[in-house]
Amino acid sequence: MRVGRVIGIDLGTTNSCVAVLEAGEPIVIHNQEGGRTTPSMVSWNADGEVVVGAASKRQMVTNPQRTVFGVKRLIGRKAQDADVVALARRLPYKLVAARNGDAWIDIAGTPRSPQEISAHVLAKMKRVAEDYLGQPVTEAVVTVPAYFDDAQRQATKDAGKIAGLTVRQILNEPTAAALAYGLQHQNNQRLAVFDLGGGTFDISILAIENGVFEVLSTYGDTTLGGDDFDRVIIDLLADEFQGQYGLDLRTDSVALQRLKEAAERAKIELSSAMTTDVNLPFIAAGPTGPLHLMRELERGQLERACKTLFERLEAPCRRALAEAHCTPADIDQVILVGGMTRMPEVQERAERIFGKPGSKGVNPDEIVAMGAAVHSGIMGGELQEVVLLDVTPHNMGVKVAGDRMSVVIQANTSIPTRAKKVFATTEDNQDFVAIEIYQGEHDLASKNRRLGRFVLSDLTRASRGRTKVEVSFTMDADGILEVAAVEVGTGRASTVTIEASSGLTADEIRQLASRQSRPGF
Amino acid sequence: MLMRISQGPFAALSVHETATAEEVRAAFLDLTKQFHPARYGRMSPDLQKMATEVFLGIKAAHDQMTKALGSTGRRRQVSAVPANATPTGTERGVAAPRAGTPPIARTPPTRPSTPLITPSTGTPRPSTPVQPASRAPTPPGAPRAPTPVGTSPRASTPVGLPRGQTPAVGVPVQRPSQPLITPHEPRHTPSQGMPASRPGSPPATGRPSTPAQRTPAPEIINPPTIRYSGVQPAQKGASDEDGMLEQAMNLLSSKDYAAARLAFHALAAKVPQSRHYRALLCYARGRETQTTGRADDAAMEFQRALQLDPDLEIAKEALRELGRKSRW
Repeated sequence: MRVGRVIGIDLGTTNSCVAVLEAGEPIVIHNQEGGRTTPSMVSWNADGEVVVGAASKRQMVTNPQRTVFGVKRLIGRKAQDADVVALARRLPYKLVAARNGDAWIDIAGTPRSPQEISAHVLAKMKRVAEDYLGQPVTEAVVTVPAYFDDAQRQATKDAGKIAGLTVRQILNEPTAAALAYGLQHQNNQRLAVFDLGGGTFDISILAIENGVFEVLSTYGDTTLGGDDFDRVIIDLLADEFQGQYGLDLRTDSVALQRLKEAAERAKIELSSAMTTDVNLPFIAAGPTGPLHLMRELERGQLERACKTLFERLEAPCRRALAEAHCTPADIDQVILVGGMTRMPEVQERAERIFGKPGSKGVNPDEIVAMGAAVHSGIMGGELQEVVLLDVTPHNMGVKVAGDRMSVVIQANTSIPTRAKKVFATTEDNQDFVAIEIYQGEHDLASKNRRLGRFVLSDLTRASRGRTKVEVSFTMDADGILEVAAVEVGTGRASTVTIEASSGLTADEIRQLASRQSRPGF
Repeated sequence: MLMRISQGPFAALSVHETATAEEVRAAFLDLTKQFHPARYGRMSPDLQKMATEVFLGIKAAHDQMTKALGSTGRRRQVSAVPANATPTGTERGVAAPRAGTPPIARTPPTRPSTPLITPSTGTPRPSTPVQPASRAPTPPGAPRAPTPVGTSPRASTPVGLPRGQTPAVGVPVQRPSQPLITPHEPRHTPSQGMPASRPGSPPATGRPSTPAQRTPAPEIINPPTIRYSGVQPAQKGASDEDGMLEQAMNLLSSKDYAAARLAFHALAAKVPQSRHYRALLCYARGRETQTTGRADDAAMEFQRALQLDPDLEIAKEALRELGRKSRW
């Protein structure tokens, strides 16, 4: 049987990267423009044509309402989430709530799901790989932040489906980075992967033992990333401008887009230089003529403005270390991942936390895609001596009386895993129980994400507390949960596989997929 | 493998009863590499499910033994009962309670006001499916809570099948002996070096029709003359390999680098132990990269080629062209 190649895609908040395993080594593939990474940006131009990548980035300033960036921060999330509401205020494009409350993007009156937009980026990466391999590609390993929940993972899988890719595995980004690093340095050791990307911060502690990569703990902050640093700079510039001229540049989408671009550039330049110039002529029209924004920005100013963001890096690291039962001294290597780790202050913070500098010779923009390619080799049997044991990042449990969350699988449990817990009836002659399954860290079930519900009925009628039901959770290596409930004694049973929903029906996915596969879509 | 798991932790990990903690761990890691469900990630969902069950059994055996051995490595009593065997009444009886473990108190459930469900006992359970052996016996008088895995096959499917029974679906118990990626592309039919669909074309001396031809390679100064002097690993199927190599080399001489890269990849996949083929793959990739003007990236590939095969003259030559020194 002939099997096609599986590619590895790092679907990033700001940039994406594709790699493939060749003769046991992960190779990053250049896109048609010669870049090793592709901006995760999608625009619809005036005649409805879709533009992806660098071309989209180029028209960001002229076409701000129809250019979508950072869609990864919206995928699998609700429009009413506090983070999404806060984010929406600063986006040049418009968010709308879909039927089920998901955050969608309004492009010239057409609501579009984040899955559809991500699918355009994935399809571009697929084409890049196909050009290089000279054969069609239909399977991929796609990475997501470790702290993504079920809905976000499922939405990413659906994006793959729309793009014509079967996502064979959703891999955690820090884990992928560790795989790529560890393939070159296979001695037994402990790694800390410090991953500060465009939209999220993840920290994972891993042990490499005889080729088995075991994630000991993972922790993160899905609302901390490079975008937040950009926003601090935007606010710094815009506040100053407002103080000077009484005009808020953030209310004008074109000015905001130019500010964003300038902020990102200034941030990047300040990683190597001590000062940079922000130069935005004709940024607004004042009563006496055009207004320009021109000023010098110093690294120190940026670092002071971002102080609270830097401080948010420490707690997740401490927590991850504690959960892995490690001290900083136990960590042999710190791997810095994500473009944001180029910032000297970020490197310094990481060094202060772990007591050692980040590993040299790791390309923070490419290592995640390389790791995804490595994992494709594990699946394909090309790499026999390496395997990965990952963990589930969130608590999984059942809602019990009083809206309490009774945790069945603890966060940071190695998967696949199976755990059981026995529950009892709370009423006399109660003849059914409703098992509601939740994911999250809060003690109150209603504050967590509800994954599903099923009922076990025809129980033996007895006084309360006498009838017992054993609930068992089985999570496979892909994080898919199967829940079974059995009445203790009678063996009456019911099972459900939790089908995470990304908000799109199978039909909608098929429709979007057929639309995308048409030339010119 | 399911059979082995059903015969208890020693059999599952295939270690001796006097195995040390290190031996148990090593056996577990080794089996993990063979049986982890990710290995079956491209196979049918049924097979993946089976792989998950097998791995859960291996893990349960490991956890059970590790717990028994303790952090000191001092041996405590390990039950010979499978970690998650069907706990029929008799087998439960065999499960030996470990000395020093206090019986788990089964407090009656608290009575909440709302009619829902409550955690039945305050008993924290291990998150891994360690079963009878790690649990203390039920105190007399308390209602016995037999785990009803055996009664319903759909609910919490037991990992261990009843002894002597073979699983209905065969579980792959051996690593695939062949890499799952097929070794070569159909476009490069090895023996003749020509795609089968073009029978009228001249033999291997002509330019084979490959997809990469659509990007004509810009002229490179000092076109390399290919002097093939590599050591050939003697093994079966060598003639097929020879054909593939000859074709790949021809592609290289005709500067069809993308096609050459694909051909060397096929060759390297066929003979994974050959550093020479991998070096040639890097070389082809380097030449391809060079044609797009990325000299630094190209140089890196040539360096890598020499790292794999320090005698690869063509890579040294390529580096000289680029005005760079070989590091290897």
